[in-house]
Amino acid sequence: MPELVLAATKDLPQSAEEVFALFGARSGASWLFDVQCDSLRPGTPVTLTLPHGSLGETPVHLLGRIRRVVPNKLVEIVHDQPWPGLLQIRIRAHRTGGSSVSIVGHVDDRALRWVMQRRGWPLSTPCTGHTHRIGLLTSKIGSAAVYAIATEYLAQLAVEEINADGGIGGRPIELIVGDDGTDPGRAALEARRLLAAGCRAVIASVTSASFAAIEPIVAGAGRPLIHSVVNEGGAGPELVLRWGERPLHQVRTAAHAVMKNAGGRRWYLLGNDYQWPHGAHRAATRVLTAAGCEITRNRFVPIGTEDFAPLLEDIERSGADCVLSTLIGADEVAFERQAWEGGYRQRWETLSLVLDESTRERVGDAAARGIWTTFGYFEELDTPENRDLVARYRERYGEWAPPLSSLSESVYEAVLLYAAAARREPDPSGIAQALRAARGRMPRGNVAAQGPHAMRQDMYLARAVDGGFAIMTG
Amino acid sequence: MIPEQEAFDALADPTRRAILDLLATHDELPAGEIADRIGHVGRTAVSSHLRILRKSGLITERREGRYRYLSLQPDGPMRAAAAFLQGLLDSALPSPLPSGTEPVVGSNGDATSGTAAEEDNRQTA
Repeated sequence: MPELVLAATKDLPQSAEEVFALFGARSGASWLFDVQCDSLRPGTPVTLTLPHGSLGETPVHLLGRIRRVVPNKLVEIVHDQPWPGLLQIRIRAHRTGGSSVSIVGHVDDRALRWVMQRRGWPLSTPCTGHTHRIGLLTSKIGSAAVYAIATEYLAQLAVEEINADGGIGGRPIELIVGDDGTDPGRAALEARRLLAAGCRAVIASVTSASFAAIEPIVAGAGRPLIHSVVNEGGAGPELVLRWGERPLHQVRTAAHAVMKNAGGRRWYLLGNDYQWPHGAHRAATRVLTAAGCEITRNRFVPIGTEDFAPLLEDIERSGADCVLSTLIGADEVAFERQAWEGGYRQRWETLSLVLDESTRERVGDAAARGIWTTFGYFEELDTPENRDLVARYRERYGEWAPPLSSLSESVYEAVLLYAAAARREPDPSGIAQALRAARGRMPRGNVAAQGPHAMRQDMYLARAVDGGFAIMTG
Repeated sequence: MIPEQEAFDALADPTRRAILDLLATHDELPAGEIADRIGHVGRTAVSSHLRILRKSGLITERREGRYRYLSLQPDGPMRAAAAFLQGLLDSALPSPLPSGTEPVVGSNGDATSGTAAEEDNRQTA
């Protein structure tokens, strides 16, 4: 993709040291889109907030990480959401005592297309008929953008592998990407756009709220729809596959170990207010009450909640030994950071059902340490297929690419399984059957479609440690 | 506002977006036919919208005799998006005021003072 380079420069009366010190400083004078990061070290995640209202009502955050720092001279940031790019910030000291700052931004047409799409430009991508188009619906802004950060990269990797192996029916796969912005209304618009662009199937890495909005649209158009990420399941038409980890399986895997560490059986359930957390809390209540636990409270907050102080006080008042969190992405990051900053971390054990690698690193090593989670996949997982995938991912996207997690890796697997099914059943009427018989040896291990909607997979219990997760064995 | 950035304001109107959607599926259309197809507004209003869209570089006009044919400007939106990103980058530079105690203009245009208390609420998403 052709690269676009943009630059901005300014002379300032402040010295180079003063300007550098302001970078990421928690004071009103912070610049570079109010950049927030815990430290100025390579690998540290950063969040940049675009000026309010510049691209609609939803706040737009650039999510990335520090790549290089030369104190008082240079900071480089690579970013992935909502579009990939590189920012190079150079500070030059003047002999007179002031300095000049230049910011150079490198983007490609993914940035331009996202901006245009966000502003409502009718992006028509005429179908040439020479490719087999599949749609990926993911979240590039909003709370879910945190855990969806590597999704498009993994999907693209899968597409390249299949195309290197002849594509589907002699045609290369072409990936068309949509962004729901963690909003069901926008998800519906994007689903329509993907279908209008000729996508033969849609793989969704979005919240269950968005999924519910697109299900009638995609299935109604006679196209397979695969929900590859963690979800609560549920009945639906035969073209709808819900392959992600189920909350019942997650909670069953973790409950005993968490309670043993807590030394108590009183649970506080807290999640975002939409279908998946509600389903997860119902499942958790079943498992926990059968194990003789007491559910002290069951609370739901809107997606996009930032202030958890009142809830943290409520958890403490309730005397809970364990907290089950079904908060997602940026909301989970805010909750766990505030729990730690408020000194609550030691007061209860936390089981978080969507604390993936990307969410954990944004919570930060210190604040996340000890939080429990369970998934069918971790970047750490030591299967030959996963060692191979991680190596290929790093080779393709570099050492500064975001971590893999069950959420993004599930899309890689979904693309492979879809391609296998489409190769077996070139006739679209047979694809639903083929998908319901999907099976394979994947980076997360052996998977097999189970029943009309679910995917059987192993589940792993893990605890957050510095730099990642320790997977519990036995 | 630089001309390319007007393009984004042009997109804010639903009738103009409807016109763009229409042109996206046709190579070009005569102005009269656009007015016919956008049924819910009168011809004068459609004319006015077409003028705004032309001025913002999103559509282009070809005259043949007494007919005007409108079509999407292929690189208009890309240029508008690039100009938008350039504007963002310009706004990312530090302000020349001293840090900390003095009022500074925050990212949403409100005056804020950089006190420690405010910063307790900020977190990395």
